[in-house]
Amino acid sequence: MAEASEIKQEIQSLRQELAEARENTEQIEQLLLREIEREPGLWEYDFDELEAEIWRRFSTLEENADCLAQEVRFSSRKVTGPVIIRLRNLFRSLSSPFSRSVVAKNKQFNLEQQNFVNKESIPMHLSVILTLQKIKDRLNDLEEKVFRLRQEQEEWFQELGKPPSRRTEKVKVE
Amino acid sequence: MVSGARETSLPPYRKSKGGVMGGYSYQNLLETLSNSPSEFMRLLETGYSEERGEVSLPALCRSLVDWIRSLSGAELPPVFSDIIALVKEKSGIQFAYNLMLRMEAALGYRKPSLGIYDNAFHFIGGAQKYGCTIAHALQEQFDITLIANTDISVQKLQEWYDLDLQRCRIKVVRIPFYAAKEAHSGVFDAGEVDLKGDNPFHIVSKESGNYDFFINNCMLEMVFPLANVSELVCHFPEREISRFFHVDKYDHIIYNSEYTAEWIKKRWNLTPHKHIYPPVDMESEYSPELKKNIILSASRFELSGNKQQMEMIKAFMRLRRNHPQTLKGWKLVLAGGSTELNPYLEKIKNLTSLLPAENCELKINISAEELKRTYAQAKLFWHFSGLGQRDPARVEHFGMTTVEAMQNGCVPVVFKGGGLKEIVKEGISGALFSNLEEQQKKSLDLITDSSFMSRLARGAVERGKQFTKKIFMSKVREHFSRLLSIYLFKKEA
Repeated sequence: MAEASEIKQEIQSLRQELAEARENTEQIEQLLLREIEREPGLWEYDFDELEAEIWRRFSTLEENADCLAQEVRFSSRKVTGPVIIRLRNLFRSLSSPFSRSVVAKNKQFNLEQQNFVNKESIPMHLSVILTLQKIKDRLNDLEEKVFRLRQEQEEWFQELGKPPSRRTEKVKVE
Repeated sequence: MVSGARETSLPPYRKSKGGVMGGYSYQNLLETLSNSPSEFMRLLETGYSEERGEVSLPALCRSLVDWIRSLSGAELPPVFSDIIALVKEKSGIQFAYNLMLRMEAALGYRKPSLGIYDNAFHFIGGAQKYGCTIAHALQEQFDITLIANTDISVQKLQEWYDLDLQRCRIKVVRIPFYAAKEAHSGVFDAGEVDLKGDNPFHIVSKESGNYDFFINNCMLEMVFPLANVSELVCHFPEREISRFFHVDKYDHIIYNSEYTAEWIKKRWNLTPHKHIYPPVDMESEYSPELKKNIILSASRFELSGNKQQMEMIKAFMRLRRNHPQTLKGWKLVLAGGSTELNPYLEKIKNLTSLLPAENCELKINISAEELKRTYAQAKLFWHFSGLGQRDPARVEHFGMTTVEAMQNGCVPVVFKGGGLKEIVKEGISGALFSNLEEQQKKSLDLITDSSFMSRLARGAVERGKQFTKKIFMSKVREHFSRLLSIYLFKKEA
């Protein structure tokens, strides 16, 4: 067992160094070498941010990928590669009259769904945001009123010559 | 990127889980450290460079502690400083500091330290009493600092809560964001924080990193805990999850009632860990002969009228009007604290003036002794808080005064909601009501049937014994002793 007092002192002085370094570091993120705050939630966005976020998140709906486009196929295998590709293309060309008609119907269905989402869902979200904006405006008005009332209250207190005492009672009750 | 989020090159926070260091167990580490310190350094660097897992503070700390204990020389080998320097470089100053703190405590060089934060320590309140009683219970095992927001003395706290806190010290950590506002009103509201700016509570978060253990006693979810062991005491989850929400970074959430636990799950989607009812020490010898025909209410006369004393007076008037003979000689006593200028209290005074003085009495800002005497004399206790409320925060989270009344054999007739449902067992230790009709009927049943009243009074006294300071302290000690033995490597986590 080592001499406890000397080791204790060494450890203490090392901790003291760290304590000083800690004191001299202002940001918690730098102390941890990590980001600590969360990304803001949707409820914390303002109107413009929310609108931008909706368009960003729904942007894939605008993409019109053609699933019927001819696929370019190649193989890196020198000998068997071209044979496999030819066989595949042969199978595709034989089955294409049937498969294309099915896929085309499906594509049409998807397009209709996509248009429906674009027309209905996004305006719906935006209208919800507008409603929220109205609520927020009203809340701001109310907050302003409360602020004015508090100021008036303070003036009354001053006129009465009494300090604005709150929660200072000493009684063991809830 | 939206304006609310800050651009940063730092990775997101992830709390280190115990057990492994880059895939190596404590035994591996200790063996390597004893046999070849240079190999240990290599392992440590590997632990940092590989994706297998973060360097775990408990595993690293335990191996270092046992290694130091086994050293034969009088000095620490130079590799120790290298290890700390590497940890500091890779995991940050706080991690290295936490490691040193835990090592010191585990090696028995000093008592583990505990910081208890409450931004309202300078006010008398149930939550603050909760925090101070924790300090009282743990001051033998820990070196305790009560972290306050404004000047307050240990003597004052001792006087307010009748506790011995001699071995605790006070440290004031002022929050610049609130400094001007506090000087104005004496209170601060965490809801005022601008979530797009900087977190004003980081000054408290930083302070939390000075201790082995940290307790956030004011459920301020914006304080990021930096201590090795962190506990959040939640009396009710008042605010929703926001950008500065850090409750999930605490090791445990201690909650005061099942009602609070339910709302922690609903509002924060977190499962709290340890249930400890608040301490209530209004116990006295139950003496039926002292009882008078008194219906008591003990609640603060809040400006908002949240405690509904007005409704109680109306209910008493209605009861008297409908049953004049039965209610003859019965008196309603409303006790509670109030500020000097209280419009709600003025309304109460106006209403009570309609009743004969012998049938209604207001006891404002009375001493604890007088309140105790009043409890001892009252037969019934009314508590309406929560009736007709939609906001869960306005329903009683626990109900301290109800327990105080019960401890004095005062039969509670209280609103069936929040924490009150947990305290009062219908027909055994009191009565619960959901509406005024029920309240009138149950009160009348008790007033007319004295044997039923005395049976429930005894039941209330028995039930009240479940919420004493003694029980609270034993639960606190049990919880923290377990944490402490894990922290000091006396017991496996």
